[in-house]
Amino acid sequence: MKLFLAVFAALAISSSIMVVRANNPVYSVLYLILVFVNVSGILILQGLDFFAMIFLVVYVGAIAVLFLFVVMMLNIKVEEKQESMLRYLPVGGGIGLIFFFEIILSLDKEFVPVNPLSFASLENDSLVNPEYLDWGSALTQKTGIEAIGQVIYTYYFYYFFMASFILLVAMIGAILLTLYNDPKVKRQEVFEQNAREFSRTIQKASY
Amino acid sequence: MTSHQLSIGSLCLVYTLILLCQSPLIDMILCFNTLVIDGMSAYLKSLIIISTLCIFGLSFSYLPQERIKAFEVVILFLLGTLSLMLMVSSYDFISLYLAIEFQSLGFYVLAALKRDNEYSTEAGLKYFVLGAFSSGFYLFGASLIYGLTGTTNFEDLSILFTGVGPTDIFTQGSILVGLLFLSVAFLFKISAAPFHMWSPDVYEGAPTTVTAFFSIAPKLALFGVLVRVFYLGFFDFLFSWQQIFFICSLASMILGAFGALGQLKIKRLLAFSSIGHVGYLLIGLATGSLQGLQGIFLYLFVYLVMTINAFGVVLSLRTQEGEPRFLSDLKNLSLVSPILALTFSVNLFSMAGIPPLAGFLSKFYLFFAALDASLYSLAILGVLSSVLSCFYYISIIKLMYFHKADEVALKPILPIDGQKGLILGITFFGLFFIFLYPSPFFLLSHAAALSFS
Repeated sequence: MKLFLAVFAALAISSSIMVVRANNPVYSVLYLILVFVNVSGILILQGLDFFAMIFLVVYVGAIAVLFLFVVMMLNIKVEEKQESMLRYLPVGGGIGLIFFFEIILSLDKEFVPVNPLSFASLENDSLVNPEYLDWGSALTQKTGIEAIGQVIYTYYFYYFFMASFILLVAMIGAILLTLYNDPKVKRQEVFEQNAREFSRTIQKASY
Repeated sequence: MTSHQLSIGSLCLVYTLILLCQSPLIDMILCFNTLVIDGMSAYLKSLIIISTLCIFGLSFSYLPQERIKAFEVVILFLLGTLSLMLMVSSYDFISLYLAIEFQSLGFYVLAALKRDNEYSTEAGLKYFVLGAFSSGFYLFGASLIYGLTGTTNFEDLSILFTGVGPTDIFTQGSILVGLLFLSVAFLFKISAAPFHMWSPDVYEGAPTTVTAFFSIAPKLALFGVLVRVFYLGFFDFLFSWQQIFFICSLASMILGAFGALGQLKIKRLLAFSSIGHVGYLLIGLATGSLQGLQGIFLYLFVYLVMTINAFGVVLSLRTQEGEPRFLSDLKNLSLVSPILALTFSVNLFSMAGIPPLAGFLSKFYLFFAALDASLYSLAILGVLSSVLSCFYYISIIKLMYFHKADEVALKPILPIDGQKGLILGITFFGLFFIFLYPSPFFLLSHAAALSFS
C-alpha cells in the first residue's frame, strides 16, 4: 500500500510540475489528465472508490476534455519561456522553500487524532480528558455510495442545497454572458409552433 | 423594463428586512450545526440588505443609460445578497466555503456585465482568476485545520482549543499555517493591502453600480466572517493572528493613502480609498477586544453610508457625453451643480475623518479601542495615515471649488432622478446625524458585538 501511495504521489507531483513546465499547451492539458488519474489512484488507496470514479468522470471526462478542446481551438502559439523561468526563480523559489518547510513542519508533528492535543499534562483530570469513542469500530462497514446517500439528504442537506444554488447561479451567469439578443437570430416561438395546424402549413398555390 | 424589475427586487428586499427585524429566532444554531443566528448576523444582514436596497435605488437611471437591459442583473444582485447573508450566518468551514463560492460566481458575472466593453470583461476575468486563487487558499487552510483537528465546526474548534495556550509551540505552529492560509484568503477577498492589486482594476472596469455593490456588501459580510472565524473559532490563538492583521492593517492604511495620490480616475481613487478603510477596519480586528468589535460594526455602518453617498454623487455626474471617468471631470462642479459639490465635499471630509461628521466618530472609536488594547503604534500610524489621506480627499475638493472657470468648458449634468436624490439626501443627512446623535448606533453595534462576549 505504501509503495502504491509513493508511486501515485510521485507521479502526481512530477506530472503537475510538467503541467506548468510544458511548452505546448496541449501537452500541458494531457499532463493534467495524468495528475487526475494519479490522484484518483490515491483516492482508491484511501478506500474512497466512489469519489475516485466521480473524480475521473468529472475532471477527466468533462473538464480536461473541455480544456483540450478550448486549447486546440484557440490555437495558442508555443511560448518561449526559458529565460523568464530563471528570472523568477530566486523570489519564487525562496517563497516555495519557506512554504515547503512550513508544510513539512506541520506534517511531521501533529497530523494525529484529537487525543494528544496538549491534554497530556492534564491526564488525571477526567473532566478535561473525556473518554473518546472509537467510531470506526462502532460503525458497521458501509460502502462509499451508501454512506454518502445516508447523510447527504439528512445531515448535510444544507450543503446539497447550496450546491444546487451555486449551479443555478452558474447557469444564469453563463446564459447572461453568452446569449446575444440579435434580431436576426431565428428563435423558437413555442406558442405559435404549437398552435400551427398541419393542414394550413402547406398550401397549393392557386393562380 | 428594468425599472419594474428593480422595483420588485427592492420590494423583496424590504420584505426580507421586515422579516429579519421581526424574526422570533434570536441566538439559534440551525441545519445541523451549519448555520447560526445571533446578534451580529442580524445586524450585518440588515446592513447588507440596506446596501443592496441603496444600490437598486442608484441603478434606476444607470441601467437604462448604460443600455443594460438584461433582467438577470436584478436576480444576480438578489442571489448575491442571499449568499452574503448566508456567509454571515455560516458556522462551519464547508458551509462558509459554499457561501463564498455562491457569492463569487454571481459577482464574476456582474463584473463582466458589459461584455462589449474591454474594461468590464477584463474586470470579470481578473476577478475570476484571483477569486479562484483565494478560494484555493481558503480550501487549503481549512483542510489543514481539518486534518489537524478533525472538525470543521467553529464552535467545536473553539471548544477544542480552550486548553491550548501560547506555550504549546507545536500545536500553535502547525495550526498557524492553516490559519495563515485562511487569513490570506479572507484578506484577498476584502482587498487588504498586500493582496489588493486586483481591486482597482476590477472596480474601474465593472459597471458603476456594480462597483458600488462590490465595495460595500462583500466587505460587510466578510468582516462578519472574519470576526466569526477568528473571535469564535480561533480566539485562543489571538497573539498569533493579531500580528497578521496588525501588519495588513498597517500596510492597507499606508498603501491606501499613497496609492490614491497617483490616481487620475474616479473609480480607481474610490478603490484605493476603500483599501484604506479596510485598513482602519482591520485595526478593530487586531485589537481582539469587545470594544474593537463594536468599533468594527460602527465603522461598517458609517462606511456604508459614506460609500453609498460617494457612488451616488459619482453616478449623478453623468453628462450628455456619458459617464465621467477622470478626476479632471470634477472641475468646476461647484458652478455646474453647487448642491452636488457640497454633498461630495462633506462626504469627503467625513471619509477623511474631520470632526463634525460621521467618519470622525467611527475612526475615533476604533483608535481608542486600539489604544485600550495597547496597540499604540497602530493607533498612531492610523492617525498619521488618516492625515495623509486627507491630502487627496481635500485635493478633490480643491478641484471642485477652486479651479478657474475658463479652464474647462462647463458641461451641464443630466437631471438626477428621484430615487438617487432620495438616497443622496438620506446619506447626506446621515453623515451629520450619526455624529450628533450616535447613541442608537452605539447600542446596535454593541448588541452585535455582545454576541461574542
